[in-house]
Amino acid sequence: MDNESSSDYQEPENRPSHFTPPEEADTGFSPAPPPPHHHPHEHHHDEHHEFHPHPSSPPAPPTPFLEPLPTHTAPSHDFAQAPPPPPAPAPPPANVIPQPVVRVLSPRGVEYVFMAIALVTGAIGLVSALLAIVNGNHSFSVLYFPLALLLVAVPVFSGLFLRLKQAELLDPSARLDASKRRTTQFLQISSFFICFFTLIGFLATVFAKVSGTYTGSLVKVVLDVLVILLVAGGILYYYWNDEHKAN
Amino acid sequence: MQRSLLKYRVGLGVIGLFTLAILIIVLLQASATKQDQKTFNAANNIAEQLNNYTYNGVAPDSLSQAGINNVPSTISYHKMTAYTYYFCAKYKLASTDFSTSSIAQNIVMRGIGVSAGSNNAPNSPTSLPDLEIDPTHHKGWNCETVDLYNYNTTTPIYNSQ
Repeated sequence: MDNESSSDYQEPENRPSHFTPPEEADTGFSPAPPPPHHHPHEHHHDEHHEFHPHPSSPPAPPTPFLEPLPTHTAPSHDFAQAPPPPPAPAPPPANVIPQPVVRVLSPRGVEYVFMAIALVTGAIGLVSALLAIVNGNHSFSVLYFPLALLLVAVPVFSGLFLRLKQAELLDPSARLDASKRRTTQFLQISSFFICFFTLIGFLATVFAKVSGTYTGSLVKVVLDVLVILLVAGGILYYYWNDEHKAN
Repeated sequence: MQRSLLKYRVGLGVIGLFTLAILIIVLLQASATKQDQKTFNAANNIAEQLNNYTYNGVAPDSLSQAGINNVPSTISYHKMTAYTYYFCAKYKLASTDFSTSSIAQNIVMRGIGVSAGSNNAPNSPTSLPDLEIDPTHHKGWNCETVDLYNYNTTTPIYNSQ
């Protein structure tokens, strides 16, 4: 009896449960399940509608998953429960050549990246030079590298900044350029990170000074923190306002 | 439009003036730094030759006796006893181990919770009676006394303007 039931209806194990064979889908009619001629030991299998061949019968080869043919238009009971297939894309016009989609910056966005590099470099030079001065150390060996940074970064940044600012004034939609916003958001996040942890570091230093574990000058620490907050906070303030004005 | 860009031009101009001031400070110190570097290099060369000579156990009467010629005017040698001598080098600027990056880094790292390592290990006294030129120096004359037979002696630095 088991052999008879297996020859009546064989559903491959790798077939999804909602799948209806094409011949059934064509008619829109699902045949009645085979009569329950099952071994008493297989009773629990019936509840899940799974096929288990008899141990003595040879195992059926796995059937590959068959996609429904595109000509199957009549909905069956099973297909009615499945999500609708996505609409077929419209064929492209004959004169359009498909191009791969690559994430690139806009031409203005590249200029914003250049400007951001110059800004970060110049900010490092400015902070270094100011820190040297507020700590009373302005010797050649301390100042020559910050000077090199400033001499290159300040003209480059000034030129790019004024050029992009002019372009934004002429075309206000340029302020919403996605590439620009990505760069300025990076600057905002970086400067926020620096300001945030500088403030925490300042408080930690104050507490260390109170407890006596820090023996340096607190005035110099205050000046150092002010220098860092002036530069990093200035960048954060400017781009924060700029982005919120644009929105 | 030019009016709206004016405030940015003014701000960038201030940064430009600051850069110019730093440039002037650096350029004014460039020749003195170069002179000090020459002095330091010459002092190192002389110290090496002097140490080779004093390996025999006696200090030379003069640097020329040790075969050292072309001594710059910023370096002086004076024999005190047969076994001790006095060596000086004059620098125009004070050296520094100041680092702006370490200051900013320390503050931010302290905010993250990473304590900056302190380098407060005491200098171990030199056990060799050799002349060693310290790259850290004051402005003016920096002298040290070398006792060839006092192995526990340190090398103090005197600063006489």
